[in-house]
Amino acid sequence: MLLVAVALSACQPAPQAAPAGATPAAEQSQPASGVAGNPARIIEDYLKARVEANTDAMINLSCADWEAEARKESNSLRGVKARLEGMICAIDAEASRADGSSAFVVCQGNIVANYNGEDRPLPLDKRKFKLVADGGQWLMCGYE
Amino acid sequence: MNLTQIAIFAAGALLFGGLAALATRDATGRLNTLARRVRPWLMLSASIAALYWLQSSTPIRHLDFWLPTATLGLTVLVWVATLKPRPATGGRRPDQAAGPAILDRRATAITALVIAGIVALIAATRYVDTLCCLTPSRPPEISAVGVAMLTCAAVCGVAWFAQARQLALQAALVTLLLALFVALKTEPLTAGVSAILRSLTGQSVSQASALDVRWLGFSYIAFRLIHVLRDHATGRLPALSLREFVTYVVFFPALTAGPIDRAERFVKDLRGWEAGPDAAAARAEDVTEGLRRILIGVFRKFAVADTLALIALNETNAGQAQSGIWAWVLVYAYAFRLYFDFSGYTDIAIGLGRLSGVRLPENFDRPYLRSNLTMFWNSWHMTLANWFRAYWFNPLTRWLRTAGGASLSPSAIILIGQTTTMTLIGIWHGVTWNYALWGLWHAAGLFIHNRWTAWIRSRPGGPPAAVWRGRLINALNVALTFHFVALGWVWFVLPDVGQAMALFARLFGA
Repeated sequence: MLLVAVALSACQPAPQAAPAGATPAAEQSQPASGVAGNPARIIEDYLKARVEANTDAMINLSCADWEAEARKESNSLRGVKARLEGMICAIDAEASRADGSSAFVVCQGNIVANYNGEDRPLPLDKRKFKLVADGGQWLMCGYE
Repeated sequence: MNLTQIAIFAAGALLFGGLAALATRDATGRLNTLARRVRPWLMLSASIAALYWLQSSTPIRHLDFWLPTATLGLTVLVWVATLKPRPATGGRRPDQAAGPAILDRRATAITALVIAGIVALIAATRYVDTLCCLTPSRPPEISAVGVAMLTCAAVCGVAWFAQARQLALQAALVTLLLALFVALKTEPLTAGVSAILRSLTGQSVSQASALDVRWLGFSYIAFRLIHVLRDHATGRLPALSLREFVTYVVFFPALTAGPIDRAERFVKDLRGWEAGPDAAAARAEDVTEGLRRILIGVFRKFAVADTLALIALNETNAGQAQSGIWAWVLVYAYAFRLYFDFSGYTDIAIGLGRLSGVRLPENFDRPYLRSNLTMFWNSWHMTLANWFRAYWFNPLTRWLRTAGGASLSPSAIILIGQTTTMTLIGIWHGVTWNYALWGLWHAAGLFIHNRWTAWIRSRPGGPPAAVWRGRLINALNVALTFHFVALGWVWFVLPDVGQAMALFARLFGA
């Protein structure tokens, strides 16, 4: 039963093409700092939690300085039907620090929010996601 | 639990029950031995996994891992504290006293390793993205988990060597459980706990909230642990292995909201299923009855209760009902919503238990059809009422009759007993004024019924009433009791006392 439960919770979508110039999440190796989690995967989880308005998950994936903003982002889509379309996130290797203390992730695709039957896309490629390594894991800590 | 979880639990429960059936067909063969060996381990492992899987997410990092781990740590610690047997009391024969619980050191060590192994396995999913995670968020680093396990082992070791002062140790554990309970149910204290935990995890302390700390099933786990500690102290607890004890405390069907079973009754089901044709028929009945209860529970909870929730009384719509009629509709909808939600969940729990071969106690027996409040409390959340009766009301009233209040009249003793019991049941839901008022509401009702009954019995009897008159009086009593309970829910559901008073005024035409 344990294995079934873990397998169900680990269902992942098929990998897609990464943004140009970035390393796809599925192909990335772990940073040398030994920080758990893949930065691009963390941002993908963060965005999935955002469209689900899962505040707890977003806070767990955020650094202390970003928690208040994470709550606001979660509330912004509460009560609205939202989904992710064509989301692919990847590490921006050039911008990320070599010492593994911070990382930047770029994404493509959209958050599609439905307001009274009208879909409104919110593009994901306008900003870079900034992550910091804290407590042995990558955490979302803002935009650049 | 959602429907997916219920389906997975039902499949697991059928497996456990199937192992029991396997043994009944082959009383002395290899299948019997295999089934008897495997089933308890599977039930223990499934219950531990469920403890982590069902734990809800929290905004405090890794707390959704640490809370289930703390549950296991407390459970093991309480087991250690009940190792040394207590002398029998209350006229029980010496061989019925709690025997030595270290029945088999090797088995205890294996059980401890299995528990630690499962916890470590769950923590290790942190490092494998494709397998992460059984808990809502990524578990903490394995080194931290290792330190926690060693700390737990050390504390248990200290408790083991403190066996000479066992009663003091048990009293300390009861106090700890009650202190945790108060901390989790009192909003300012819970917010303080959240702030402390956030400072430890490096998260924003300014965002601390009482809603941050959600410990799955802690109340029910605390009830089971306190029951064990108290029964052991009075020599009524049978010897339990570590595996049996942990399975009893965190048994997956009853994890979230009961029913509150007794350890001695539970382990009988866990241990004993006899071979033979009658046992096979009983096992078949367990499966059909278990599935029936699960289906009934799913219908009650997800169809009826969730539909009634759309119009049931809550903080928001309480102020929106402009007429007395609509106010009554809200109150009635809440009364039935609460019943179908809670009894539906209990049906699912009992059904899952039955599939596993464990007959959990009933929690509801048509409470809204009872003709007085005493009978209502004998048929609503029965296991909770029995727990408070056994571990608070009866000991308190016994003490008041003897050493504590020999000068008190019987009615005063009953008043004190009922008032304190119902107030405790009220604030068990949360240490707030509205829950306390709800408890006092029922205490007053119970006392009034007690005095009314005593007065009726003191009157000389007359000619027997006509059958139709008896039925009419019974129907009126049922209606009166139901409305008393339904109005009591107004205190329960509205956290603001002023808002509750305003609703009462609207209900009665003011």
